[in-house]
Amino acid sequence: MKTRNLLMISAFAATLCFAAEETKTEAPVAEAPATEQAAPAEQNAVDACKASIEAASKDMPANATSAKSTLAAAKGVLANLEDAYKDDPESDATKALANKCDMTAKIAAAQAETQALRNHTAENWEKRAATARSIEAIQEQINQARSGKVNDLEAEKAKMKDQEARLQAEMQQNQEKFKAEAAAQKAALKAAGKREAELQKKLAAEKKALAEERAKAKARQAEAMNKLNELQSKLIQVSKDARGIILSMSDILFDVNKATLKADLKTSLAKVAGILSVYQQFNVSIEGNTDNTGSAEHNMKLSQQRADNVKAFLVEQGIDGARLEAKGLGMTMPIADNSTKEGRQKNRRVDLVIQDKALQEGADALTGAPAEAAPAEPAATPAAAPAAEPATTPAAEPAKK
Amino acid sequence: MKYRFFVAGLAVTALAILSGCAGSANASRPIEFAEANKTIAEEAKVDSAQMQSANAKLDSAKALQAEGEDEQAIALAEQSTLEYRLAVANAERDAAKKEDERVEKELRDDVERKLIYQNILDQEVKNGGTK
Repeated sequence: MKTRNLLMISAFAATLCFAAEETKTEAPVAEAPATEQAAPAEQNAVDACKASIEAASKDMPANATSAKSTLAAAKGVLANLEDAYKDDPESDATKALANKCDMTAKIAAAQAETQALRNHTAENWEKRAATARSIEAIQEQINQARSGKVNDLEAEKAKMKDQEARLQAEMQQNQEKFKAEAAAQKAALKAAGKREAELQKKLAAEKKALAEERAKAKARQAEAMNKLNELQSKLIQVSKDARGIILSMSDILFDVNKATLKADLKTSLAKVAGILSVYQQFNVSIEGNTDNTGSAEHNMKLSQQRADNVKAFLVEQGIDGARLEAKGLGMTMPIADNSTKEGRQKNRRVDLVIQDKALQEGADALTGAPAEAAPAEPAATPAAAPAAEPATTPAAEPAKK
Repeated sequence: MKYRFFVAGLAVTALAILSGCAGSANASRPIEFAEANKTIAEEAKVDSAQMQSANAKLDSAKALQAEGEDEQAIALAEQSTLEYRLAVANAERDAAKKEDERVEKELRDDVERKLIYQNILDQEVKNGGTK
């Protein structure tokens, strides 16, 4: 019985001890300095704690584990605060708990904000990663675009290079060709120049020789002219013009209407033949002429026969026939007016046109035409005076044909 | 009789141990806890004003403990712990904010680079098209 009482006493004492411990636990908080108590005087400490917790929990990220844990602790403090507030709203314990609640809520809010910032940072990192991938993709596209362009440019470059090489080769070939042609032309030009110089030299020599020959021929002709002037008479007129020395013999020296030579004419022609034999360079053109009486055919025939006879006589006298040419001109080459007796007498004649070969050839060479092409006097104008200058007075009245 | 006193004394001692009445409140653990939080706060390089306030409370707690005022020392140690924790939370928030701003800026730079490259690509495609 005493033991039972003792145990009951012990239990009572223990109860007292627990009560005292509870009081001790809360006592230090109540004795905290008044300056540390954060509960506002006007606001209910419990409501303020709830508001702080509410504010901290607002917009809290789902993954803010630390903040949630801290917030749970704040709620625990709130429970204690509510109990303390019920006991004594103005007690130090209540104020201390209110302060603890406020601080804990602030910590939770900071942690929540930190987590929110970290979440935002993580989102930005993801965005950066996505952006980096996009940039890489764009860079790849740029490289592909440039690669394609570079390929095109390379192909174009190769094409241009080929073309340039081809053009270069063509140009070189052309240059070589032109060079060869130029060399050939130069050689040809040089050869031509040489030939021309030789020709010029030759021509000059020939001209010189020709000039000398012509001078000699002129001298010969002048000499012959002096000798032939001895034949000058009424029946034979000696003159000189561009064709050479002209011996104009009257038809009186022929039988009438015949071609036979009279003795006087033969004598004169023999002298002429003597001169011609001395001057082998002289050619003689024997030209028979008539007046306009009678038929043209008869006159032509008669004039030809007379010219032929003269030629034959000269050949008999030893003159080479090749030097002689006989031409019957009939009435085609009058030298005087056929309407008068004197004129007709003048027109009836045989002309010996004596010309040095050298002068003849020189004239041919200079004019490109035979010397005969340039008659000494125009025949178509009977009224005109003859170009030949008579050495003596005209012959006497000629006999009839 | 001796046995009775012994049993009674044993019961009282047991009750006292069980009920925690063996001694008065000890401020060592809250102070140690506060010290640990202080180390964390120092490593986190928290705001100096908040650090000084918390340090002052911890120093007061230590002083009160030395004077045998354990109950007040515990209260101040707990308050300093809360302040250290709040300072660390604020420092982490500030660091997170700074990091977020940096990443935000880099993101803007990336977007600008992307636009530049996009323009280059558009130009290349355009040039390629008109080639």
